[in-house]
Amino acid sequence: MRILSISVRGFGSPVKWRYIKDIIRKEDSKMVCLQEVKMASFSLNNYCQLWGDNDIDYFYSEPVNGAGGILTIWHTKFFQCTKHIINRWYIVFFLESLGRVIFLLLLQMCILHVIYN
Amino acid sequence: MQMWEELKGIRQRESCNSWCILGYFNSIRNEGERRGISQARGNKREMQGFNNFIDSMEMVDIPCIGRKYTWYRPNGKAKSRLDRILTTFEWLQHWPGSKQYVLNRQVSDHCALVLKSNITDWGPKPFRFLDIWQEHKEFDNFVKDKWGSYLVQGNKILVLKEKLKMLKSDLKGWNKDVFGYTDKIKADIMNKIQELDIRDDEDELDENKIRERRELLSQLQDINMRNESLLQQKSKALLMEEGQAHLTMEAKTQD
Repeated sequence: MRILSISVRGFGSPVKWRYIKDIIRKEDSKMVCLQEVKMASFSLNNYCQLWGDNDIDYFYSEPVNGAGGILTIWHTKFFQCTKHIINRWYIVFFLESLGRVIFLLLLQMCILHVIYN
Repeated sequence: MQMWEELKGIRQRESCNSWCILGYFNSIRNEGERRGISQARGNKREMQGFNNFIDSMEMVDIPCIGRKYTWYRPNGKAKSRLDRILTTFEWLQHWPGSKQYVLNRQVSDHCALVLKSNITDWGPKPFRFLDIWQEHKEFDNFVKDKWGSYLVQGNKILVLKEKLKMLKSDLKGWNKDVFGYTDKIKADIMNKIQELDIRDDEDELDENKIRERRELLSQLQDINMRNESLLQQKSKALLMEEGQAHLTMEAKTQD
């Protein structure tokens, strides 16, 4: 079980792209969870390029007014998603991993303070 | 907070207890998890709310390795543990030894977190008997002596099991002493043969030297045979033989 998570604060620069790509390989990640991606959209090609091969599935909760954006990509050999809930604050996955049912909740609360104040 | 309640609802609705929550929580559990930020209004309540959320979701704050804080203000004046990974007990049973590693910060003001469960129980280690042991003159006596020297009391089965266990570790040591340095021995022998050959080229060798060379050559032969046997055993020779048998079958049918 190896899952990588990072709040990238924007994902437009090639430097960040390279960093995530390297770290996925280095840590032998089976799933990567990025918060505060702040990009309007990606193509499937982008995801495959980031991951390094085509055996992937993904969710992208797009940013609202330029803030937020949660991206998750995982290896379909290790996880199969059966259902999910997505909104701008979180993604809840219902995954099966090697015959086990697990839940993965990916959070991002960059605008939390707005609610509080 | 409304989102916490929403998530609690989902958690209660689902029967599965293997949960993991990760990401940017933007909340901390206690004052020790931040430095350099002035006390803002409502902070106590925020921490309490977060702790209540973790408790009511029945989440465990899994051990953290690496940095203490996960977010650093670019000017270096403040730092905080805003990101984390939480799992349930059941998750920890599936993936024992799950830990969160906080990596060094590089491209963002947040550090990357990695959830790893690196302790894998492969079960008991198999014991492999090497065919080359039987070829060795001292092997039989070694096993006999060792077997006789073990003192184990109790149930017969237990005695057998314990004695086998001790023999296993002794054999491992013996293997290393006797066969462990074959590469070096082989290189030495080859050097000596080479030396004698060169001298033979220049002028005739006497009786002794010729006998010595013959002995060295036979030792080299032994070592090569031993290595071959070892390699075959280690490379699952059975599979190879089966594969070859299959090939010859095919060749025959083609004829």
